Amino acid sequence: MRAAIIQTFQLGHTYDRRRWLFRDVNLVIEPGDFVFLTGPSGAGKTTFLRLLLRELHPTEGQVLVMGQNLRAIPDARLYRIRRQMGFVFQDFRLIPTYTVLENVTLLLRLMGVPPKEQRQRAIRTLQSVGLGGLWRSSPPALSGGEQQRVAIARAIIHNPKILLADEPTGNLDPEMSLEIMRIFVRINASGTTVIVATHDDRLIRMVGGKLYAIERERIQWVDQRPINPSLLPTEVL
Amino acid sequence: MKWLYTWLAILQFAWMNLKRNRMTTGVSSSIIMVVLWLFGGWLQASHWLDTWLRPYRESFILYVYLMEGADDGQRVAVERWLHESPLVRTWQFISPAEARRRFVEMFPEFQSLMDSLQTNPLPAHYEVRLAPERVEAQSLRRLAASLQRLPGVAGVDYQQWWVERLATLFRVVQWGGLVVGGVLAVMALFTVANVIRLSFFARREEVQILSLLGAHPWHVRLPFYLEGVLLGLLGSLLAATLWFLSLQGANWYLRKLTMAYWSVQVQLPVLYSIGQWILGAGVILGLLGAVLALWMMRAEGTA
Ligand SMILES: Nc1ncnc2c1ncn2[C@@H]1O[C@H](COP(=O)(O)OP(=O)(O)OP(=O)(O)O)[C@@H](O)[C@H]1O
Ligand SMILES: [Mg+2]
Repeated sequence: MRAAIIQTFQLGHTYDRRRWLFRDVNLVIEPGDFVFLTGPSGAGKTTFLRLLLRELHPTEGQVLVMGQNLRAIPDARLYRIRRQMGFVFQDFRLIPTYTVLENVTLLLRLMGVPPKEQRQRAIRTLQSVGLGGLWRSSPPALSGGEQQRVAIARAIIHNPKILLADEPTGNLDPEMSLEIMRIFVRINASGTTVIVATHDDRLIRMVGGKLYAIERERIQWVDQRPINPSLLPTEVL
Repeated sequence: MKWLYTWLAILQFAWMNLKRNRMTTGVSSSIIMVVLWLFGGWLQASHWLDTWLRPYRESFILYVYLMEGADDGQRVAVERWLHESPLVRTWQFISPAEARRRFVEMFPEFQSLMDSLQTNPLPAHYEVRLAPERVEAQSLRRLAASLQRLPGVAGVDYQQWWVERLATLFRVVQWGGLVVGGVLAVMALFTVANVIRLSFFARREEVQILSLLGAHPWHVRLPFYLEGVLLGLLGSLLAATLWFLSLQGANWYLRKLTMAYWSVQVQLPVLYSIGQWILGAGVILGLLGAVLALWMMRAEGTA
């Protein structure tokens, strides 16, 4: 077994100390994994992803990301580990007053990347999600699927080692959903660990990968299948 | 190079905050302007009073007259007292003979009168020069009283009472101005803090996203500090301009009123130094306002 990229120990979380979303979760996710996390609405999928980002501290237990215990990282150094991750929010969370380009380069700007390089990288990344021509647009003027893909571009532009996506196809038709999955599979094929939270079983069946489900206060390992080859980028085949 | 781009991005972010909220930016920088304009006036007034009073205060002399039979031990006690007082800059012992010499030198017409006297009526005394920056009416009175009580001291005398009275009065006015200024400054501080808070709330979503994407905490915070500094700078630039214009205006008015007999004398170095004080105060005000805003938000648990 390779060293885990994400590992949890007796992880448990409850918001109100009455109802536990999950408890005693011991998960190992390896580098390069393509993971689906499923469960009914309100099960705690978003919560689990937020724990991985340390947007929240778990009620109990530990989360290790790339060997680092999130609880032990001081606030001022959290950014280092977050830069290794990309996050696609359930509700996109694009900034409406910025252009697509500005949304996508949000982090690069602060990282001191020269403007020209920012632009090149942004346009390349937007092209990779099929939005090459839209960098000047404003997010509210885009369709749901387009906004979703801008959000994905923002999450992957800094080449994260881990990509977390929360219900990335929630607002999309099946065709567009598959298109998004194709993007994720391609990112995964380049070595990025991908974790997708979704309750779209059809999608999960179509894509493959490792499947975990939140059920009865546990996060259970359900299934593991190879990635559907028809989704893989042709050059990898 | 990298840090330069980062700073540029941060500056841009801060500038956008100010630009986006033109209304609050305008109102708050006007408040800062008024406060700093008053501050400039206060500095100028203090400077004028100081230069006006200085020659009087520099030449201020305290006389300690000794009794006729004062012995060396008593003189040593007086000198030790003078030596230890922080108010005293220098002192000189004037013997009766020396006093007489000086008197005659100053008033030659009394030469024959002095010669006709059997004894020297002028007592031995100390001429004490005081440190003008330390002197005010109360400490002076206290020093005089202490000297007066020493054995062998016949009396303590000082003219120019009024100078000290006036200086003290001015100092009170000056302090009063400082207190009023302090209240105004606190007002301006809270204005800045609220502007920063508003722009923080306006961009809260963005701040949160940035932080989740992996922006350094300082990258997220700095634009708001910078916004405060820019706001302070804006207000102080306006204040400095207004200050300059109002000096010109006052000058014009005074000359017109007195038919060019009087004018407002402003030396360029003073103007520059007041300008610097205004700008410096503006920057500090802005920065402190931002610090206050982030501190307040942390206390409220919103940041
Ligand atoms: N900040 C919060 N404070 C209190 N309760 C919360 C908070 N966030 C989520 N919850 C509750 O925790 C439970 C799990 O929420 P979560 O968003 O993780 O579910 P989910 O699996 O992502 O659901 P969905 O599929 O609808 O997105 C829900 O019952 C929700 O009401
Ligand atoms: Mg959710």
